[in-house]
Amino acid sequence: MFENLLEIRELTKSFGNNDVLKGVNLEVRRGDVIAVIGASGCGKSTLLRCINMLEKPDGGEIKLDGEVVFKSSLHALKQKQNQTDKKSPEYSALKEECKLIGKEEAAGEKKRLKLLNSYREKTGMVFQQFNLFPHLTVMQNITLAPMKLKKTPKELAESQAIELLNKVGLAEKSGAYPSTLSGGQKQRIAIVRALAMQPEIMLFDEPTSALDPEMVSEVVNVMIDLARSMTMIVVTHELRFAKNAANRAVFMDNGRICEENSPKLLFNAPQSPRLIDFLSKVL
Amino acid sequence: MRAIEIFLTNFIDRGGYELTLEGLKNTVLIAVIGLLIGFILGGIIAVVKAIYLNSVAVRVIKAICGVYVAFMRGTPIIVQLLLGHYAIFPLLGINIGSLPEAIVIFGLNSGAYMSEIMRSGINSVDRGQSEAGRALGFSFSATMFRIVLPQAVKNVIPTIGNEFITLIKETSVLSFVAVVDLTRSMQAIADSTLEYFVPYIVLAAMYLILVLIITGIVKLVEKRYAVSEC
Repeated sequence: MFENLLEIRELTKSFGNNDVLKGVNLEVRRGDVIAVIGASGCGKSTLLRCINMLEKPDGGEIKLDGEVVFKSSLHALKQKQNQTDKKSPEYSALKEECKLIGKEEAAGEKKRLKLLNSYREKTGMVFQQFNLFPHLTVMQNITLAPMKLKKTPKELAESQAIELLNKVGLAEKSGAYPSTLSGGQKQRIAIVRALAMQPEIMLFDEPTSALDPEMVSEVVNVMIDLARSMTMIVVTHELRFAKNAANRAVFMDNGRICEENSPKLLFNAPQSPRLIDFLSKVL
Repeated sequence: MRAIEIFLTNFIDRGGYELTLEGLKNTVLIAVIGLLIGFILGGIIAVVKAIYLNSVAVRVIKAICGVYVAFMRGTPIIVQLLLGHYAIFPLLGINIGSLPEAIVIFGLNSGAYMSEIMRSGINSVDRGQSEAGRALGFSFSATMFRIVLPQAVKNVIPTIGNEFITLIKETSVLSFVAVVDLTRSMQAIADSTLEYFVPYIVLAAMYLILVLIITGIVKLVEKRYAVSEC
């Protein structure tokens, strides 16, 4: 329907004085599997968290499936205002503009806020720390959201859950509590939990970074398998996944997308000095 | 031996046990219902305090909660009982009797303390839990009630037990507003027989037993919740 499933334009985000995202542009087509790499602190996790609005961006635009999820130019305007001389006529003009746009955007945001939860249903998120619900069994973890949000009947939700659990090889764990599982098992369950909502796109925030080395591959295998049928953005240090399953690789540096290419070219023929430097350290 | 004799005469032969049971019933009733009211009220206030939105309505509600908690924690419960019994309830034209009044005031008082207990409980739950809930598409309140609060409550069960014990013991001030609680019933027995030693020993023993029972219940509840322990 829409060629681009996700469009991100000039996305900015800062925490206090720390500008984490300085204008990120990214277009994600349906079926894309994008590996995002970069040194820690470059903004890749923040980008992911902004995409499903766990962090509210400051400025720019996010569109999913043709629908605007976030749009703001107020922040940039305010910054411009702060940089101009307070006595100049330009300053007061900017101030007026800020007021006007501020009002407009507040109204738009209120509308979008109501749609936010349904938007999040379309974006599955997998966290570094798994974040399974420890007070619920594996089955309850998976079926909670479909039953409560999509009103899926219990039997159907459970049979869908079993199907997904079979795919990741954990069907026998459906009655267990998360505390009894290994890290790799927890992460596979977390992937299933996100998939159970049948999202349009899956976001992975360093899914293997908290795992013991011997458990990395069981999770990566699941992700490689999933990559055949799902649009994914994966922030990862796991170069095996980036090389084998991704069709695009993105290198982020200092709050911007610094280089983008097919994984093969990005890893084997890096262009920018920063990427060459980064790869020399991690490979 | 003489003490046992006095006990038998005053508590059994002269029917002192009836008054004792009445006092015990009221003490337990007020503490249990007060705790329940406090639990619900405290939970709601703690959730309100966790709202991150900064709209005018939210700020007003937060301010009201703040004043309520400050007042309830900042004045002695005996003052609240007197104020309620002699000023607030008559002023509002509410006439529900001393016992229900006491239950309401103990509930309101406990709610203030409970809100802080629940707040610390909510803070003890990892941020990732609410993020995971939100990421799945749950609203703020659904995330709170389905995901965060169940874990928060589990973390604060011992503290809630503490609050329960405090409540049981605080009911001893109820004689000031003409409610027959455990303490009042013993005072009455002592006053009418002019024998003070035995009733007050019995009184202390009964509070101690009540508190030990509560401690046991709290341990049981903790064990039951420990199933999903990480």
